[in-house]
Amino acid sequence: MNVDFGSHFSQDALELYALGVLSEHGCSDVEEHLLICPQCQTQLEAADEYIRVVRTAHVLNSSRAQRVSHASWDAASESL
Amino acid sequence: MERSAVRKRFDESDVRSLVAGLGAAEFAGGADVAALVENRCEPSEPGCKGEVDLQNLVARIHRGEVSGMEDLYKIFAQGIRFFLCRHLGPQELNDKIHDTFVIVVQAIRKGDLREPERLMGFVRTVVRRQIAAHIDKLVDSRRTESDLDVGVRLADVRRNPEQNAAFEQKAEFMVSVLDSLSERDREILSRFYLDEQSQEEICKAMNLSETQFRLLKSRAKSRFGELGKKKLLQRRMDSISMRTSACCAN
Repeated sequence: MNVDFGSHFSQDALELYALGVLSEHGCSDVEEHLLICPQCQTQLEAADEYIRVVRTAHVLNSSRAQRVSHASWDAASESL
Repeated sequence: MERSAVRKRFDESDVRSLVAGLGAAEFAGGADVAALVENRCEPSEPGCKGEVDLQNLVARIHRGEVSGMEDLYKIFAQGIRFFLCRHLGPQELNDKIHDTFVIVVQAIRKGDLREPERLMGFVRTVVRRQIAAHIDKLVDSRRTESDLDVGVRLADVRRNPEQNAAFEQKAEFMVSVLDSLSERDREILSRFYLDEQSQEEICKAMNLSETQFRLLKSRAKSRFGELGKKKLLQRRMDSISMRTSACCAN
């Protein structure tokens, strides 16, 4: 029985793995491939980074939105 | 140490220490160890790529052949390093990799791996157990040694200032991307990346087709990439114009 290094996982699959939402079976398939595939390791690192960026951006966005609404409330209450 | 440590290759001392750890007489010869180091290459390099006969590999390791060890290194060293670093951080990484290899090789030599085609799964299980054991140890030491200043070692996941700045910039690009999206599209991304809802759940809750969902995700990603490229280009142009004006001033 031979191991083929050539079959890579899609970016979507690696993103699901990075989010930790893959099934146990899917997870083991991805991890076994990652053990021998530097290309997918790099893709997974990119997916990890992208998820961190999206999460941080969401937090920044909502905290800015909050600040804006506070500021407009202050402005409105001042004019009243 | 940075994440790039994941890409580090094994050097001669790694192989020597593994051989010493195994305590196997047939692995102790200097010439064989040198050959192991001399011939190593990454699985991504030509010559390592392609197919590996696992049955043959396991049989060679079982017989104690150095070439079997060499091939095991070629195939798994980087992957094991990647997993251990991803879960435990770069601290004492070489020791952990060494321990993992010792366990795998010893098990094969004892004949514990009865189905050679399961070698990948076996290595994965050993790596996962190593990670779990290390986390258990950390939790235990944190519980029992909480009053002490030393003894609790955690992975330092902080980035250096340069990486921090790059990350902050990326987050700013993503804020611009999110700003350019409708409230509904932002909610879809937020459900997926923040709340970790599945695609099916999101599509059902928001009455979306799978195609719409995929399209939005890929659109946000490519917009993020475009913004990054644009900013990078802008920065290069700025630096060229600054250099030009400095030359003119001189």
